[in-house]
Amino acid sequence: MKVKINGQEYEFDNGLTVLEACRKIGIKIPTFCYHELLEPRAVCRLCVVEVDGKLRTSCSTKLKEGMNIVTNSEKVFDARRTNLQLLIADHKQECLSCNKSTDCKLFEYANEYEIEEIPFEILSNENPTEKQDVDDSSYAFIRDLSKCIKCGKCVQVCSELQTVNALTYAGRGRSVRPSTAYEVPINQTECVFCGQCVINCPTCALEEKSETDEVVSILNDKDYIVAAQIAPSVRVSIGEEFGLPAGEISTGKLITALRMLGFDYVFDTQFGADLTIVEEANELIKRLEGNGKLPMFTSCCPAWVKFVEEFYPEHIENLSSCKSPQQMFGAVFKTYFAKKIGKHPEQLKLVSIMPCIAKKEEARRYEFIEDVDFVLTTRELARLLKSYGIDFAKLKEGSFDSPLGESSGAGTIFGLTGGVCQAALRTVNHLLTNQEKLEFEFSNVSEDGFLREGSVEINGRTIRFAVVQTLGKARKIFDNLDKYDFIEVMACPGGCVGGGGQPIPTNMEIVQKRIKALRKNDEMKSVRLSHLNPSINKLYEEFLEKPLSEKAHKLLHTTYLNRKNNRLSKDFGI
Amino acid sequence: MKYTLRICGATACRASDSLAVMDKLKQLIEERKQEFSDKGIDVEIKEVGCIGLCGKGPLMVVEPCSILYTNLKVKDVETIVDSLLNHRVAENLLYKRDNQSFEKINDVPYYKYQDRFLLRRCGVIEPLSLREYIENDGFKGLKRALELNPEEVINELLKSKLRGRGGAGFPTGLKWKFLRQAQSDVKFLVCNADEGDPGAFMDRSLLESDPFAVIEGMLIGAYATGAKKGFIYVREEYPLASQRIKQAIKILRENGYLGENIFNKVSFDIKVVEGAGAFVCGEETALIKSIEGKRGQPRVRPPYPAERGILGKPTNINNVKTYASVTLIFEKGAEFFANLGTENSGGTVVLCLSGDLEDTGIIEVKMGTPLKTVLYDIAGGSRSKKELKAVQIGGPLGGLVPKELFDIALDYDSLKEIGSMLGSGGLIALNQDDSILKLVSFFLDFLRLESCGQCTPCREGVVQLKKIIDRIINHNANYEDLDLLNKLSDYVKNNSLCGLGQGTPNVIESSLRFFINEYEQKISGPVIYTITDACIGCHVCAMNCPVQAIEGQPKEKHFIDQSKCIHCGKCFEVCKFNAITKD
Amino acid sequence: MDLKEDIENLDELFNKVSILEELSQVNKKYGYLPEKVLRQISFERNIPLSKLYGLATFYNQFKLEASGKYVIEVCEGTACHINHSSELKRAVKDVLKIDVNQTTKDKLFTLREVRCLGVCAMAPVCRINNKIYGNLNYNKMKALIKEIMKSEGNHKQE
Repeated sequence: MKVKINGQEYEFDNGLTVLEACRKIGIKIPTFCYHELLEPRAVCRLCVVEVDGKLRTSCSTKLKEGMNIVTNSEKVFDARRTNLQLLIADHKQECLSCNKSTDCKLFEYANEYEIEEIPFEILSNENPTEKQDVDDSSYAFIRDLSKCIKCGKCVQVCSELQTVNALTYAGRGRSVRPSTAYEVPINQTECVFCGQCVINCPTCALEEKSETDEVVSILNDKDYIVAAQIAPSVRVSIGEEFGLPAGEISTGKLITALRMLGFDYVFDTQFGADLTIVEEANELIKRLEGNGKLPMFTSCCPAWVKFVEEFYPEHIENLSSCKSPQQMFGAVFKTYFAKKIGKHPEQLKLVSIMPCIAKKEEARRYEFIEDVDFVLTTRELARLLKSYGIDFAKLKEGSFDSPLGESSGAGTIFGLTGGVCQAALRTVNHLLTNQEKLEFEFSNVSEDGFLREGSVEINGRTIRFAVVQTLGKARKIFDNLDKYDFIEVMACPGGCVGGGGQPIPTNMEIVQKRIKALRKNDEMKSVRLSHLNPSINKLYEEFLEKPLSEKAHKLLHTTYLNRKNNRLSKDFGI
Repeated sequence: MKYTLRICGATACRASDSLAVMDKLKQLIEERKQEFSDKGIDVEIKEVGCIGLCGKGPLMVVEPCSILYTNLKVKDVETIVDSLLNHRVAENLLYKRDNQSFEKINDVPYYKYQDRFLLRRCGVIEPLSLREYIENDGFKGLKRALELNPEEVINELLKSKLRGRGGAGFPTGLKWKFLRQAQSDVKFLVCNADEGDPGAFMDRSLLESDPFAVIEGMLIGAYATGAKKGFIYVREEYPLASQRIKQAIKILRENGYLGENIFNKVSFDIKVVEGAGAFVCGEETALIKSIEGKRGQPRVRPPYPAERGILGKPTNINNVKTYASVTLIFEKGAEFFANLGTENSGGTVVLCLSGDLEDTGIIEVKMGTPLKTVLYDIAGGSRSKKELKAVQIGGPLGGLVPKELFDIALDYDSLKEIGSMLGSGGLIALNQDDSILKLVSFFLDFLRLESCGQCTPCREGVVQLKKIIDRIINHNANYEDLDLLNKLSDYVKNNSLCGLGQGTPNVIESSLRFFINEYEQKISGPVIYTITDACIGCHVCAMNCPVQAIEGQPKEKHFIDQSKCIHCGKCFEVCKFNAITKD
Repeated sequence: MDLKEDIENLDELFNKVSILEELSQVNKKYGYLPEKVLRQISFERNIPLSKLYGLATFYNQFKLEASGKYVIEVCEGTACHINHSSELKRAVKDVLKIDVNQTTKDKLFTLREVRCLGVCAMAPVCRINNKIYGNLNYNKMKALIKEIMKSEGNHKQE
């Protein structure tokens, strides 16, 4: 259909909103509360444009034949300016020292719309809520209500996308705020720390909890040997923080940067991923033979694991007992590697660089005691590099250290949705048939793409698998579990590349670019199956004996908590 | 000789102990029953619904002569009983205006100038007597409607020119048409009895006094639109109304007027849902959320409720008076209803009068009646005998009508033309001493607390609007603030998500249009200081006044001589008892 | 929404006690919503506790803290406001020494503001434990409170 935008005629398909149409032709419209995957609520009112002379929110207005849209009139700018002024009048003014000010949309728009004076009374000193503003109870992230602009995105994501409902809208009028039940600290709720609220928050009201100071401290401490492990997703995203295009593979530069910071060793979480696959594939084969519960769930996503523990504890036994790559790596680092370099584990410190904030909580689970000492998100590392004056784009390519730096293509695709499943099936297939099959097609894909189902024939047995993105979608699989044998669940849309610690902005377009880069990374590798990784084989030969051995079990496998039970006994004394 | 005593048992009269009066009457008549039987006098006592002159309650009407008694107290019961026994009128209990007494209710000026159609059974029948309801034309409308087919019913409704009585004034026939056209086997009808407007209580009254009429209107609606289930959403501040309507539903179910196959033509049942205290739930989409058990936060429209409502199903929401009007329309005919009104809206308008008026309560007049008829002929003018300065209509989202425009016709369009609004029909009379700005500040306070808080313009904007108004009231503002007030008002009106935010600026704009002088007095005029009743007579202010403008006896309330006052504010500064106001 | 959910939701909405109704009943019974009860309801109805908390903090009627035995609700409707409802609050403050949303130390009285009760013709109005009193003023309000205190056999508050 034909519509007019800013005086020019355009033709669009049916069913688009004004916002989507404008974005298609390259007109930026500011938004706070809009989320591309969820139903638009049109509450922030920032995206207003003139439609046939009247101000309408572009996110919720569908295109109609003959519409006259104006996005650049004084009327529109005035409305947006007033909106921003009202928000700034009720916002803690700490922009110069705020960590997220470079990612803060309020700051960005205030600049863009040249907000100089605020003609309104500054309300940010009149706190309408009685409870304390800041919640830093978890390891993963900090909530600061004094910087909240009440866009409600965190509540929407927690409730509609992830169906965890740790956050709700509480109060009314100016005291409306995203809150937990009874304003308890977030670590006392069912929050799984997926980080989707953090990455969608347009201001600094939600931000990862920084561990940068502690990391700098140990880097400067000569008594420690400090190693870094880098997750797959980080290498295809961190460049965005330094002006490089999304989906550029900056592994080499990243390694050099870490050495410049003072890390003694730079290793690859993908090594841990390969290890995970070896253990998990063997575990799956065992279960397929009747030794264990089916379907088997992946367990590398800590948000998914906590989700099962909180809401479906009766299915804890479906979870693979394997630790995540981060944790397996940590265990091996503090034992195998310590021995190799003749050091005591207490002299070793391990820092993970992750796209995820749930990894911060995972590293502190009681079962994992200090296998991983600190976790930095992609954003945190980028900030640290900037503060050190490291000009990322200009760095020379470096390479990983041995022996924990070698990885296969299967290890690299862990960062994208479907990658873990694919990696596992590659090994399962090869172990059982001795043939190398790299791709596994999906026969059924849901409309939003978040549930993909497929099956593969291996030695006369059909293995039915499913790949799920977002926890809200994951609830669907519990309706008919016996349809599947193996299920991969990633809490973040797109998989870990869309994680809560990734560079901002992270939208579906950028996520697709990052996914493409990881796939390219996989294709570039000479070894594309985890169990054919020579360093992995050496590890088993020298240390672990064989997959699922007693030693492997002790170091690389874990147990889970029935958190639902714990809550009920606390609430009702059962 | 049979006397029937109709005593009002609706909420307002109850609050003045009308039930105690009724009990005492019953008791005394029982005690003296021999006297009554000797004289061949039969007395029936009926508790009826709202008789309408709430400000002079408790009220009673004695039939068959229709004598109205007002301001009844328990000690008056003896007088009443004596008057009955002697076939006399109790003079001291009659309604009086300007020293003249009136006996018959239809002669009382308050009632003489009214046109009571929607309210025809209120205060006449026992609210829950199905028999009385039917005897008084009950269900005539439904039967007539069922003789037509659904499309014809909607056409009749369009012909009647009925516009939604909840405030927006949207043609009801059109709304029903939309619901009829919606493709779904599940449709809902909702009666909005959330009446959150302070100053409006006619919905409460209707539900308490003539509940069957409201349900009959919904039945006609169910037939016309295809809805099989309905909700009546009553605010929790109306316990008696909620109880009555629930009982009414039960009675109708037991008698085959609700449920399956009513007259073999329609199936319909109703559930009463109580609100939990949120003005914003009067907004359609918020009301839907509330019925679904969620926070009453409005959502963006389109889609409209007729397309997607409760649980995603097509839903139609109408006000209590609208459904009662539907009943009237089919009882007496669409043309009759249309002729009661004006060119653009049929029927009558029900108003709740409060504020500085001699007579307050619920009244009904033809659409288009001049406001001054209501204020002076019906309500008797100012009770305090001061001059009436303005009238506020339509609740916090409504507007003002200044005294210069008191001959304006009461209908949707005439009021809209002057920037005001009929709204739900709550009317508050203000006299020359009432501060318009303080009223505006009060409304803004109400709205900022009732705002759901979702959208920035309303959540932040209303707070800032109130701050500006308060600055002006406290003589802390200049003409730039007036500009800012205008600009922000406009912003909130054009950018808010729902009617609450969009309507907030109405009263501001209205006050700027008609009472700019009050603004100017605050911006550039002197501060007026007044001593209130909180004064304990400590004399400190008088001792500090540089021009000796304050007088008073020790331990008694003091007074400021405004002709001597130089507005320095010293007294305000030194008063330790907050007994001096700054205007 | 699929058909099965449709029917379940409809049935629940029309035939069962809705969550708002249940909360209302709890609120009436205890005078507020005790946390323990909300947790129980959350478990029984499988509604996240956070959502119940969201409901409790949205609607005026629901209180999260216990009130006194007598809840004095002064109507803040327009008519009452114009007719000096502030005087009623001043009377309460003078006798009981409490402000809005406060409770006396002996837990006998709580003062609250309430939205228009729809009895505007008798402004100013207040409601005490579901009984409405109209045509009040400062002195009548004081007398009313003292009467209640007397009936409670309480000594005068200092």
